[in-house]
Amino acid sequence: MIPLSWYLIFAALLFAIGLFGVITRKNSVAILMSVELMLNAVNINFLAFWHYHTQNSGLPQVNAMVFVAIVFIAAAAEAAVGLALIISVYRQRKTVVVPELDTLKG
Amino acid sequence: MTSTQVIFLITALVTIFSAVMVVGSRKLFHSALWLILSFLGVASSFALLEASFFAIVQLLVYIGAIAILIIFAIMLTRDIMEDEWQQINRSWGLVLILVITIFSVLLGLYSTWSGFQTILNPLGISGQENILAFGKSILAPDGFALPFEASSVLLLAAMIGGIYIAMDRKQEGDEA
Amino acid sequence: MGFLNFLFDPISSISTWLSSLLAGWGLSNEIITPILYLIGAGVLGTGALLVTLLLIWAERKIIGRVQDRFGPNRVGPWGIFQSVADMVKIFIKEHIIPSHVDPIPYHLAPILAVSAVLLSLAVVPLSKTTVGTNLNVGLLFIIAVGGLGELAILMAGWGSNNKYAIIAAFRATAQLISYELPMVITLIIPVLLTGSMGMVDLVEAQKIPFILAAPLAALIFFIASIAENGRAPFDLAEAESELVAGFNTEYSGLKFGMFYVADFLRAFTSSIIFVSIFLGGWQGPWAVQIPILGFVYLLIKSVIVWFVGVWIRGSLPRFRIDQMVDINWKILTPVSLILVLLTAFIDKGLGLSSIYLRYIVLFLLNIGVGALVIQLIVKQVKKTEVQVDVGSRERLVARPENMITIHHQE
Repeated sequence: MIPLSWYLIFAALLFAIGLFGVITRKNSVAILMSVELMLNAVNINFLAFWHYHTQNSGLPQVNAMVFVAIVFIAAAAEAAVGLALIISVYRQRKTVVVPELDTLKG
Repeated sequence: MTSTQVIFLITALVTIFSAVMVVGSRKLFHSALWLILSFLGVASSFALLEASFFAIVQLLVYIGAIAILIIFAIMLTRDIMEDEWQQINRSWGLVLILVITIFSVLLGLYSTWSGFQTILNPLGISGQENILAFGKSILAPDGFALPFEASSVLLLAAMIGGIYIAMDRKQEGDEA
Repeated sequence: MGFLNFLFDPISSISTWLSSLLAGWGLSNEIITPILYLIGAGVLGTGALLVTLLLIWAERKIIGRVQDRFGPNRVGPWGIFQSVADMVKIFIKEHIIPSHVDPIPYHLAPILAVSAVLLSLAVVPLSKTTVGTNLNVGLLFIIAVGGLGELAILMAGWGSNNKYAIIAAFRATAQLISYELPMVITLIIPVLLTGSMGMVDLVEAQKIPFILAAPLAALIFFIASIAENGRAPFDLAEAESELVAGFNTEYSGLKFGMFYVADFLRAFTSSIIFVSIFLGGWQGPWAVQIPILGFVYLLIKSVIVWFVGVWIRGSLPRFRIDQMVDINWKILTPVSLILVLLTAFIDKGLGLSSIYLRYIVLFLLNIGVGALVIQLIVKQVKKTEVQVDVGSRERLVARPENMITIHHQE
């Protein structure tokens, strides 16, 4: 009923918004949130193509589903470690704003 | 336009709007709430794609775990950035151009592909069958058993790493 | 015969009658289905909320009896209209909105709290013929919807602009998240035994209730669901005699009432879920032939389970926060993990075809694991127990290291 193109455009838009957030936001938690948006966009693409291939072949296709599951796992791991890092950085430097974390700057 | 198309358009618009608010909102907590709304929108688009399993897992993992973790992190690192501050870089104009370029390049690439306009019809396969095939493939040695095991090791490593990094060593030193 | 059919299965009779009526008005099938769903959801939600009024009264009465009081006894016979009076009072109370609240989270949180509870009823089969939606991942849906409740708590805590509310929200969410773990892990066992995550399949597979095949898993699930409901002995989130009331400190009037209703309703829905997963749901004698009987069975079983919950609430003292954490991470989670592994290996490894033999083996396995765990706990407690002579000057302080963790007294 719904054209494949709609899903792809939707996912691309979501990806673009996430990318914009990753590059421009200053707060590291906000950057993490934007990364989650990008991962979601990727998942929409995977599942749209999964539907497309299942429809074409008429048999259950699993490859895309496995990829989506692994993206979920990676997202969960990334959120856990990322937020732990942010909290640890906050303890040491009392800030989570990325431009202020400039110890490596000469 | 059929009713499914209308439903898709509504959820897509809500999702895109809340994604914009995630990036644009001044208050970080509001960003997180908008993020949850966009997760919900993505989950319903999964449901429209007949991947109900992943729609529910999206609810479970993203809203039940990741969003709550993010809110915890926001509350634990509060009062860092005043809401009146500039929340985004000075070079956001450049980034906007870059992002629009990437988006249009993606669209251009898609439109050269012949399958772009395919109409997605309801699948003749029940959800149960799909999950069964998926479950068997992630445990089959000639399927995806190895990546699946590797990702479980990744999760374990992330758990241990998260605990180790976030552990408060100062207090430990006080006791000793 | 038609009347008898209606009597045996009123809900699906009414729904077929309604759909034929709507089709008679010239509506297409595409519109009729959503309308029927909406009506069903409305009836189910309203019914559940009305039942809550009765539940609140019954719970106060039972707790009163347990604590040697009368409980509500003024309004109506046996005080049965007490909750109606309370409801009217709460309706006409003033809405006090504290200054500097964050308006959207503050106003959204109570609604989310109630809807998170009601949503889980959508996938529970009420009788053989009546189920909201037969989702093939219904069990996951119930868990996922439980996560929305945590969100409501965090939103309430943040939105109230009160430091006590936010600390209480943290405390409550930490407890809910950690107790979700053993709950989800034990749910794998019924799924293993059924081979499906759909609630309808799960109930239909229970010709013999799963509690006989997995008593320990059922016990762990029950404890975890008490903790998820935040009731005594796990009511640390809003221990009313010790702390500022909790994340809903700043709410008054109807909004507070919604949190209150969500609390009591969750106790009942979680017992419905427990019954559907471990006690066979609507299954019972003649429940297949007469579907309405299945609904009655479901209600009776749920009320029994709910009563056990209330009984525990009235009888046991509150855990300390370190005990709450210990019980989850040191006992429930590891035990449920081991149980899932053993169940999977033994069930598949033996490959028993006879259902009775399978149940007996699994039952023995559960009892064995349970006995082992109890022995380990007793040993641990004996090792850490501190002996104090009756007359000695030494006074024990109720500190964590004096109770369950290892502490070597000189």
